Amino acid sequence: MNDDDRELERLMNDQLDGVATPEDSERLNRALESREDARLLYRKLGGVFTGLSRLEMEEPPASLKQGVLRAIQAMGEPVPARESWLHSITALFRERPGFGRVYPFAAGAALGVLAFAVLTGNLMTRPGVDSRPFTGTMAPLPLDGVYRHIGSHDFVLRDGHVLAEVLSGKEGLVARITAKAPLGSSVVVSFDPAGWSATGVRQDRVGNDVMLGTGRLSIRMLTLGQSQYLLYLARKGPAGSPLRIAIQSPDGSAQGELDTGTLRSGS
Amino acid sequence: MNSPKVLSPRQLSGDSPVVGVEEREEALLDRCLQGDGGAFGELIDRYQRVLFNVSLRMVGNREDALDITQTVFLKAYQNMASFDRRHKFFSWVYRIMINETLNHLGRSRRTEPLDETFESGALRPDEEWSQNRLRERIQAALLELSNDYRQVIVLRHFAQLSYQEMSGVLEVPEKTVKSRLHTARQLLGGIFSKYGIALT
Repeated sequence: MNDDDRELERLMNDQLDGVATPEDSERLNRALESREDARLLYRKLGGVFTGLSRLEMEEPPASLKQGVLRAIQAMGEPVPARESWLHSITALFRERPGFGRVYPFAAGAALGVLAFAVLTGNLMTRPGVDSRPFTGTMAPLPLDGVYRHIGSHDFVLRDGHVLAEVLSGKEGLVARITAKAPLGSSVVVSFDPAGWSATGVRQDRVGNDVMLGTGRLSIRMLTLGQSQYLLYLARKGPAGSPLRIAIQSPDGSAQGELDTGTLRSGS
Repeated sequence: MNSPKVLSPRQLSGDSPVVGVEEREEALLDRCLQGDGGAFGELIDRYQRVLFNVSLRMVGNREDALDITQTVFLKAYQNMASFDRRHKFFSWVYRIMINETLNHLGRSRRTEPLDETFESGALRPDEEWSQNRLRERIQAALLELSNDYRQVIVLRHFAQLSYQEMSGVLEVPEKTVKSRLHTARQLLGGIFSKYGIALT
């Protein structure tokens, strides 16, 4: 295609899009009068516009808005954007000149503490509410024949279901959550942090909010369709305390316990 | 052969249905951030039709379009606080929509080609029925385009965004938008011919 053809194509598209200037329209008319290939192309393009205009705008179902508002109601207010803790610290030093001299020292110390915390795993045992958004895969372990199914609980919701299973292995156990729940629903798996430590979480479909906190894994449904989560737990204490599952959905709530008792016998 | 008459401009020019409401929208966004669910309901009222249709034309079925549109609104609500108010709200929402739609298409199977029965287009006297069949064919043709080409067609012809607005949503230069749109229309014309869709 040469420059003339490209220009002609632009004129045709602009004309059909309704953005051609009067001069452009005039040039296009002249080209169409003199060139057979231009006429054919213009007819074909016009056919595309006509065809697309046959696809009328459809009305969305009423359940669209209702579903979103119900999910929002279950979720609460939108969270204001938060600054990171590191940003807050550096801002403090920048805004107060008196701190200027100690800034390099403080920054070094903070990095040292952070490195120590990472190395010793203390970030994993920080007390408090869920605070670490999780996306992707952490410490994935293969879920193959080395795990044994020891219990499950199927929660049937009005518009979905949540299947919670416990599988045991040499290293500990895995809680497997398979969920298809309405938007805004949450699934929380709680465990005794004195008895178990979370060593990893895995999800097969990114898009929902997954938070790993002390003694709990929280999942909030932001996408529709089925998703699956694996929570890897290592035994810390001698006895295996049960896992608790709590589900909140716009239609109501459900909860239950999953026994991990077979681990007590050392399986 | 007579030259075809230059068509009069269609109502597809720069005036998108969402331009010109920015001032009131600012107030709505403020109210949303203060936790006013009713304000978000108004934003849904404003955008649900066009977003649903964008999604519908991208994925080809109402059920998936409904799921995607709901997810888009939910994500917009959740991330409202991080929305940069220097940009247009609709550009931001469209971008979420495009990403969500592409994620969905990535997860689902490729569109199957038209089957024998569909292509035969056996005629029935019912005019409405044949119009519906024509629309189905046009939608099927649209689904044959690659995602990049389909999205420019959909944003232009169904969301009625200007080139400049599309450039903002797709985060590509306006020149790229135009060139992609032209190619998409050429390709669609070819697919129409293949399906025997002859429209002038």
